[in-house]
Amino acid sequence: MAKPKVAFFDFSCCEGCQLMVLNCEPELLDIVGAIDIVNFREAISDRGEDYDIAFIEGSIITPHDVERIKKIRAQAKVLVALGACAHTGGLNKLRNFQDTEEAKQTVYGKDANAGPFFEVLSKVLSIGEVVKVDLAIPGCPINRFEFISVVKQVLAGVTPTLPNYPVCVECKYNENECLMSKGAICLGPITLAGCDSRCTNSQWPCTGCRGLVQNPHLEADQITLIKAGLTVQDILRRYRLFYGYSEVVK
Amino acid sequence: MATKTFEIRENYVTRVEGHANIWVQVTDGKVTGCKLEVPESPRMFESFVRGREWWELHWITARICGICNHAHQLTSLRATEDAFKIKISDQTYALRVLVDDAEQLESHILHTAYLVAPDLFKAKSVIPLVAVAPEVIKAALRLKRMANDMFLYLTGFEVHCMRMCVGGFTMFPTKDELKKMRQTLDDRMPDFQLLAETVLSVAGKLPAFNRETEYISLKGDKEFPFYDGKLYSSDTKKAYDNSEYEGVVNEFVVPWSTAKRAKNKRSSFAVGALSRCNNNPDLLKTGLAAEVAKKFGYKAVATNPFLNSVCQLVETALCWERAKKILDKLIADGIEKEPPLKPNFKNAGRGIGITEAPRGLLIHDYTYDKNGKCVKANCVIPTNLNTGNMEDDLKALVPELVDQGKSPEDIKFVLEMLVRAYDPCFSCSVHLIEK
Ligand code: SF4
Ligand code: SF4
Ligand code: SF4
Ligand SMILES: [Fe+2]
Repeated sequence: MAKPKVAFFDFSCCEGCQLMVLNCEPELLDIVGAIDIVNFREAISDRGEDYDIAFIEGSIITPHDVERIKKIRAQAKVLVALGACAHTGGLNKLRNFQDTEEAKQTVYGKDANAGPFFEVLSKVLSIGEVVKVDLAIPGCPINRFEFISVVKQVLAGVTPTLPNYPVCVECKYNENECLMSKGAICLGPITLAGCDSRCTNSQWPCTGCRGLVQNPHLEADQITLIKAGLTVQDILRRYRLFYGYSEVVK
Repeated sequence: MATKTFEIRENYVTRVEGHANIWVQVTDGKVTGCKLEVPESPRMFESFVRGREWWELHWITARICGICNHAHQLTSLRATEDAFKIKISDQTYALRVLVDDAEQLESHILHTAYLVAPDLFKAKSVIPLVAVAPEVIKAALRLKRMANDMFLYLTGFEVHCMRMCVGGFTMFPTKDELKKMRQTLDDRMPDFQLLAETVLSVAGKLPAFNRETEYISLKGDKEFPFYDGKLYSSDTKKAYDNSEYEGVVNEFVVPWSTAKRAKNKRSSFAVGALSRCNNNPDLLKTGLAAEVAKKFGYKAVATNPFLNSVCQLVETALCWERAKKILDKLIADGIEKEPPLKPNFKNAGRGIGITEAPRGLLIHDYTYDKNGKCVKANCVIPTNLNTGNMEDDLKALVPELVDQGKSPEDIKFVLEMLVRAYDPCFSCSVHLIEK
């Protein structure tokens, strides 16, 4: 059987998710053996335009990005959003709560519209807001074990599914002492699991990078946060970091 | 006779982080147009961090760049701690230097083995090298895993780690983990030597091109500077205060680049491993770093930008030995579980952090209000500092290559190699700040 042709494409992001793919050192040679990587600009010089599976990293920020992702969608049989920037827009969406022109001027001053590359959409978009996404691997950055498992399942013709419970479940399974009981603010109760509660394992609160769990208990969460001393503005600010895609923060 | 009138356009240079295009026009053997375009879409970090809180600035700004994520966190934390006048403990300082050494190891090995080595073997990527030199590639994978495991033990994760926080660390490695890291540094030495030997065997293929420029980096007093040091220019031979940085980097905008440009005494200057080594020769006189430098024939001041990759190997050796020393001391003294120091909002003001990211000088500059919220931010990124210098190199290099009778196709290959030698990170580069 011919090896499936796989391509990686990056849009606006930090490229940390591609790096997590390269960080699969023990598995990398096996992965490279099982697939035919035709396009991975960060790591290889070939640029094949013929591929079956496209991994997309990053958000859609410019009109040019829109054209580019549409072309990729037309070619790919399976399109996978890799990481929060692609999946939900990630923290790039923080910009959506600001005035675009003002934001540009803050960064570039009088040169805010110096040339064509400076043209941006009025809102940062996730990949799914522009084209159909078949699968998403959430997280900022992704969990490399989840990436490997998705690749294996796709190669076996199985449709991977994501967990549907909050980070707290993993956190308790890992026998962590709850950070909330020590006065920290943690979004674990309403955030989609699958990262093995990697932040709270390191005594750092969950900031919600994998997005909201399905049917989150928002009211209960907000009551807890208000009891912990947060104002409505504080809660919104916390939610906006990674839930900028959701109606919840509008 | 080779054609002397042609145009080169290479959109999206590969094997670099982020996006850049090379455009060169040659008419009758003369360069009549040359641009290094950076079309990276602006994500505008400096704008959207306004209003965010003191504890999360490093968590957010690390997302400027996945590859330099630890460097961004280290620099950001320095800036925030400076803004609140927090003085970190000696243990925190030692652990941060160790994290910084691991960052250089990881990034330099990635750059040398995955991104530069294929050029020297005339391969399109590291993948075909697996067939040609499987032992070397496996060694490189093990070396990268070693550095990544150091992150797991020290900071909790490889990319956008969780344990470094304002005022210290949330969690510490166990004694066993310290010993494991220490042991692995010994066990992997042959892998490093194999990688260095392999690069040395093809180092003759690095183009012989020299162009002197201004080298800007931190300068160390007793220690080779990554986490700490004084801002220094090879042209002025002067060390600057952190607060003077704007007058040294002088950022400006050109229409063909969303990454800002910078200049000091000339039309451009260089930052990165070559600048650091050129500016700190006295700190490279002993140990493994000196051996590696000697093997490759590197001597300060070198003016061939392609030697940046060689300097990265010299620095890898240096960080390796320093990491061993720090670990030995931490194992002997034991680690105290110090709680992170908290900011006193009354002290809030402006803070500047300057460190050396793997690819050069990195500056974060924040101002906080009395509620601990960020009101202004400026991040100066090494690749921005370098793009002007790269463009000036391209302008000087093209006529030499034309004179050597090289075809446009061959010229394009060398130009891409030049851009890669700087280990640029264009996605990082477009998150600059306001005046
Ligand atoms: S999701 Fe996070 S780690 Fe991944 S590319 Fe975006 S910013 Fe980087
Ligand atoms: S620390 Fe966070 S994730 Fe863990 S149990 Fe508490 S709220 Fe849930
Ligand atoms: S704990 Fe929360 S913020 Fe951390 S990786 Fe998991 S989902 Fe993301
Ligand atoms: Fe970077």
